[in-house]
Amino acid sequence: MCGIAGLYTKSESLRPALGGLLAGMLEQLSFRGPDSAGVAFYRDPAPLGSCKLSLHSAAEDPGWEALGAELGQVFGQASAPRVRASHAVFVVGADADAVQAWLRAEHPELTVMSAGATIEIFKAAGSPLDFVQRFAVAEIDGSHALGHTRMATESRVTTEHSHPFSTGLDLCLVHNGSLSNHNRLRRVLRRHGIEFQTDNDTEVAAGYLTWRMREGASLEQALEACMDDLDGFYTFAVGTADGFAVLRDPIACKPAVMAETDDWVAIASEYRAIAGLPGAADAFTWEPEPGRVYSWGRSLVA
Amino acid sequence: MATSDATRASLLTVDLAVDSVRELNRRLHEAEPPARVRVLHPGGKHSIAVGLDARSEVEIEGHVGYYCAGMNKHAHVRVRGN
Repeated sequence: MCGIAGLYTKSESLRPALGGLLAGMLEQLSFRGPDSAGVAFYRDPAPLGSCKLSLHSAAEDPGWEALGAELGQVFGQASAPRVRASHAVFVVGADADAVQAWLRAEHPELTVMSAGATIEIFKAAGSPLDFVQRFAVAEIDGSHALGHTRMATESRVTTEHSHPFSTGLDLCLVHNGSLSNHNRLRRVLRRHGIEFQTDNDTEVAAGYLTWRMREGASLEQALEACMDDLDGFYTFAVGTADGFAVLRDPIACKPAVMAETDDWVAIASEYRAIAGLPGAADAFTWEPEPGRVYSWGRSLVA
Repeated sequence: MATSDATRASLLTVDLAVDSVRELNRRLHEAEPPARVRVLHPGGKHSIAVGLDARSEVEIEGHVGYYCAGMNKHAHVRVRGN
């Protein structure tokens, strides 16, 4: 069992409240995943030619200020770190791939949780209720966000094993379920040059989506292909730069409910996570069908 | 008996935006629970109206979560939601 939550704001006025609303959703889903929690927020785009990175350090004092200065020296331009608990967000005046390659070489002690123009991922092992407080999730604004509460079934409980998993620039995945062919698929994907940090099954699904899209598939096509290549149970929510997409396995083993009003679109593992959203009682509410890709983005909502 | 009849015919309204599910279930488990119970703002909560033995009429105005009306013996539970 795990809990997933996603919230997309259709009206600008809701953006400052996004973190507070997602925090409330995570609290309602905390019992489904008491082991760890994580969020991905889409907000505050980096200027053109720059990238934004969310970094995690296990160290007590990671020296974020010094890292910011170092990034500035190497890449010409880097923001001061925006520190949030064990994570820090940097905006660097360079290509995301170049910065990630440099970090891997020079700072292997750091984990890149996300990279892109707008995405920021924060995640940690431990109680979701503590996570929401420690990371001050309620204070984060943005256009849309995904969240996850984890009850581990197939791999260790660590921050690295927590969701969301980055699946490429401005992309991430949260998952409720378990995959049974992830070891074989991981070997296949490694041969295609996809890198993995953990032995987690969801990270393989994330890597699979990255690979499919690198080969030219759209997000929708990549999700459709999941139904052929992934064995197991899943409700997936995928965050993109301008929205999110949802897919349940063809048998729909794992629960999901969606709701929409004039102001927002939401997905959650259970209705109780949606009940607290403004106007939820009058929202159009439905259970997403098995094996069907649903997606929301600015282009689709406008 | 008059008092008891009045109790049994009475309508109890429980608002789960205010009261807990545990409090609702405690009332429903009383030796002589209200004959009719209306539940407001269930909000998808779990375990609403579980383990009922009496012949109560329970109406729930909204979506419920897991186990609703589970282990029910004699009550009639209506969910105006999912």
